[in-house]
Amino acid sequence: MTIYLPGDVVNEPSSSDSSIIGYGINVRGETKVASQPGVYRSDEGKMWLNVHSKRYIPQEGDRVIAIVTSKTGDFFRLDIGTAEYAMVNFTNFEGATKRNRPNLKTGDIIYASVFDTTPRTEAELTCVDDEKRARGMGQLNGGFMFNVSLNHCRRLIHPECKILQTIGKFFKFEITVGMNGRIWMNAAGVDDIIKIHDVIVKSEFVKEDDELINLVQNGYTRSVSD
Amino acid sequence: MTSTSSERVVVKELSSSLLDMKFMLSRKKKIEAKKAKSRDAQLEEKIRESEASSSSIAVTAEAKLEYCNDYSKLENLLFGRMSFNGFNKDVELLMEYYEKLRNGELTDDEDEGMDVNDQEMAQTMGGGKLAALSKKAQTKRERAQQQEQNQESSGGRRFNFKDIRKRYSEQNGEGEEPERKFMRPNDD
Amino acid sequence: MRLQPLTICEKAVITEALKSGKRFDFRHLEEFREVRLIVGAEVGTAICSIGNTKVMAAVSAHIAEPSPMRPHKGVINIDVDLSPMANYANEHDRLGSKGMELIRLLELIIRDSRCIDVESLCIRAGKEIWKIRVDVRVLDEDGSLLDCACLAAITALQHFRRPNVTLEPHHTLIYSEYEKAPVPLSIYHMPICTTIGLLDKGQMVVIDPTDKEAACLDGSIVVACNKRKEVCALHQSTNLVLSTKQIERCVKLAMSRAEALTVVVSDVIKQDQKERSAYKRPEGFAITVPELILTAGTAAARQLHPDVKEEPMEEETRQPRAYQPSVILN
Repeated sequence: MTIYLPGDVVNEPSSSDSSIIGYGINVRGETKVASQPGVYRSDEGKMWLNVHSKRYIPQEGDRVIAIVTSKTGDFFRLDIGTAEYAMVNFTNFEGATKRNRPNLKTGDIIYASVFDTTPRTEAELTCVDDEKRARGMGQLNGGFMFNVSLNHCRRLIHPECKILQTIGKFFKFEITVGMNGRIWMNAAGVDDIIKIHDVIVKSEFVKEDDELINLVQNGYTRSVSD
Repeated sequence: MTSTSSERVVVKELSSSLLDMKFMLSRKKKIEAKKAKSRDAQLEEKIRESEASSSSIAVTAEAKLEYCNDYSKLENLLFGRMSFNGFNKDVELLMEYYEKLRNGELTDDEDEGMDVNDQEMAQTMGGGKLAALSKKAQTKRERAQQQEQNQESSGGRRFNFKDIRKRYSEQNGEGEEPERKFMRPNDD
Repeated sequence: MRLQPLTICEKAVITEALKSGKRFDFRHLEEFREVRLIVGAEVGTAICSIGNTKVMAAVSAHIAEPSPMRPHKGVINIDVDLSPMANYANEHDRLGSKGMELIRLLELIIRDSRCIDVESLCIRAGKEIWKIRVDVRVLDEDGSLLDCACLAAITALQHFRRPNVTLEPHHTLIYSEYEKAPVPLSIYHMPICTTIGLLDKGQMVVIDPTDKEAACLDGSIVVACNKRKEVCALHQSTNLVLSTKQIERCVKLAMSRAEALTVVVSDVIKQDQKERSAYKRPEGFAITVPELILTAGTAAARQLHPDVKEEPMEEETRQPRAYQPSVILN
């Protein structure tokens, strides 16, 4: 494991096919320079830095959880945790037309993907893919939303991460992980929501599998109003 | 020039209005991707040619590099929505879909979950012609049988005189058809 | 930057949970979060944390001329800064309504409750007095900000020692700490603040609410009192009409809290004094270094196994293994 700080020259033995430069690395001439502090990672010709942060910067293609803050003209104004607001057009919902507008109130949350991050403008989001289908995006009803750090979010939906699978062995629940550090989750009752929330927040500091299983087990058996 | 004109003849192009239709979206996407690819290839070739002609320096390492700031691509992340123990069945279906998409099992050609099913499509797109053709091939008896079936199934949606007469008789409370007689005109 | 808006679903779930007596941190409605109190290596500095809320206070003194109205009284100034580090809705050097409320209440509790003997801060009547400045810096915000700020300020004041002085006919001699032992402030009593959230038009009380809980509540009442069961300040943040009975109940809760916390503060100060008199180098804020320096990697298969530095926790915390926000690298 190598940790790079901004300005460090990334000097990793890279194979010839290592051609995708990811987050946190810049190329200056022949050398690769770290632009963010993070841990070096590489995989199948990709190299990037895994950066810990709590503030989200919009990236095209990210799926995020957004909070509706107001309606302006043909747009919903959304909060996605960035410095600026983001926008989503009324028609960028599945089954929506000019007349048939989605019924969203201030304070509702939607799961949407970022598709335009032109600098100096508000990021634009969409709730449909390029075939005009929602495929899981759109409004999230009920449940509970909370924030964790961005890299914990990424960890949760990493294919090799066992946290959610382990929780799924004990609880019956549904979860939506936004790349902007927000997690929405729904379960059978308030008790379960409180327990799962606790386990997910605490799992950020858990490394070993046994520790994780213990944590989830304790969370499951623990009584909320105790 | 000649090559492009011949291409135009060979490639059957769909009209833009047809491509704008909702059910053609995936096809449109595919065509656009193909076009972009061929355009890129042409551009690359052009660049290579110009480079070869100007005999410039060899391609630098930078040309091979590609930037990607998307963590979900870098780390090969899963779809963000998950459901466990059947809490939300729809999401569990979606999980399967995205898992296939991630593993590359889902090719663009097969499109599960169509907006318009095959039968409906066949009906609207020239299905009538086909039916007429098959009707021609039928024998008289077969045609009659089919018509009867149609009447039963359609519940008399299509009007014909036989039907009206039948209904008329039913209204009159007579079970059977009135006997038809040739009436001689009266001279009075 | 603005605050993250409260969503409908959060409000619904938190309110439902609170009404059935459940909280997201597994507390009872009438249960406080654990308090950590640490005094610095420098005299007159303290960090207090209640749950995730964290406030640092530093006390300093300098000699100034008194106001002609009060020629033989010292002055206590309180300065509050809400940094954007605590909450990104804050701005540096701009307090806003929340900051103004905080600074006014701190002034009310610390200066106007006359817990510090200002007359002993006079050096030469009408000429020289000690001006005490209390700098309160909010490091992290998660509800009960006033409780935390007040506790940090009071601890810092208790911890503070001003230089010793002697009066000569025409001049004043100020001694360094090596020549003459510095003098502590004379503090009559310690006002302790307690924030009590009100739910259901004041029918239910939610003690020590977190930020999210506070946003879902109908209002809150802040009671400052000392261990002698004297109420020093009472402040209500919304225009909720409360009955005498409800207020009495809140005051009773605050009094028991004040008693418990007074013991903690004096324990911390006593321990520090003992160590200093034994010429032990004070550890100061070094113990606040996160115990978890490195934690989990992205995935189990790529686990990192770094040497996790375990910092020994000092005994002055009430419950030593409190949660600490830490630096995570993965």
